[in-house]
Amino acid sequence: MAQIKEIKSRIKTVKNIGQITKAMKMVATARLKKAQERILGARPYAIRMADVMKNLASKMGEEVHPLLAVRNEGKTALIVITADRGLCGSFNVNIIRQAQNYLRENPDTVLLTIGKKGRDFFRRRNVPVRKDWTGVFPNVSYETVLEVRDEIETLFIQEKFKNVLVLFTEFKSVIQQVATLDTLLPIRLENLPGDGQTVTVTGGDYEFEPDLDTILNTLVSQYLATQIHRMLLESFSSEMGAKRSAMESASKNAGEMITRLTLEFNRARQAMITKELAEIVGGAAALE
Amino acid sequence: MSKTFQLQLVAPDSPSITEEVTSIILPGGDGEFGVLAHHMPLISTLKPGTLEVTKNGIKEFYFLAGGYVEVNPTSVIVLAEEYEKSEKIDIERSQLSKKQAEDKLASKAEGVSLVKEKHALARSKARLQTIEKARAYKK
Repeated sequence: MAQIKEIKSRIKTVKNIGQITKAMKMVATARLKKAQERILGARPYAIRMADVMKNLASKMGEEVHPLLAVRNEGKTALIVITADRGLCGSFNVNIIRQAQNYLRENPDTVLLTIGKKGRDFFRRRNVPVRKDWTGVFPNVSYETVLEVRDEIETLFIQEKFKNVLVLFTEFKSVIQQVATLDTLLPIRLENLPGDGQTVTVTGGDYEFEPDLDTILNTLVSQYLATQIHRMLLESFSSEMGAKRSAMESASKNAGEMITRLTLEFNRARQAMITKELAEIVGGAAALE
Repeated sequence: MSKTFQLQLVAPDSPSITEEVTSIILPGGDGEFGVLAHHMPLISTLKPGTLEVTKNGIKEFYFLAGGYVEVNPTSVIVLAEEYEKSEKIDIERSQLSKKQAEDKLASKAEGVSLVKEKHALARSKARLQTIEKARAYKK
């Protein structure tokens, strides 16, 4: 009897968990869709901006802007973008493992983290984290982006870092997300993205208002901000994709478990009935 | 020679808009300026303000939160930090954020970033101004 009760309560628990994972999966799907729309919206902006910068490229030598400076020595900063929360499969693990590998090979790296999981991981292991941001997702406001940008601009310009790298999860598709290491600074003009639509017809004939230097100054750091923005959105989409898959398999597992437990429950019940019958028959036989 | 040109309005957080227009007025960093087709190539900064678009003789108003513009003879690309069409602006929210920014600037309290608040103030003012312009035009 006790066994039957136990199985019954387990079935109930698993059912509840299955409902929660199913709900989480649906939330992740909805958020993923929203994040993807934002990426698509941000893409033309980044491409157009790169076009404008390319049009200006003929005018700027690499020493013109401090964010374009190529240095042969100096420290490296690594920004690790993880999620704030777990329950998304190997999403955080993949990024953190890569970050660890990188830090092992380059122990002098200055670490910055975005997302609670990354921060907590390194803090627990007493790895110094220069600066961290949490609670960035799911909204990814432009203000946060600007904060991150200001911080790394300070690192790069005032503290003369050699480069600033970012480790984030690139969103390939709903089922495929890849941890990627990208160079954020210095900005290399030849690496700018573009769709080849705008032909540089009038390379040198632009008029500038107020003047070239002012425009360049603001444009380049604006470009940096759009890059950070893109990476955050990609990371968030990946997180949601990973969460969706994780929750899907969790729901499936819960279903399987329920089937198994129900079978066990029926068997136990049958066994009990059989036992009772045997007792009754045995009792009747003893009376005769 | 055609009298229209292509206007492309893009921002990081909104879908991009591409339209065939006859003229626009932009809030340039050094003051407002108008653009017609076959304008000479120009790159300018933009400050928070109103973008006025004339299309088929009808005017439309957009709020811009600063950015850049690249003008070519046959196309104009507006790279805005943010944009909103006049009908979509939330008046109450703009008034509220204007008041908040003003209060913060007036309080001169610790931890108030002057640059940030001034920027917020300029943006909310630009939003309200955009609504006013759109209303004045409709009358």
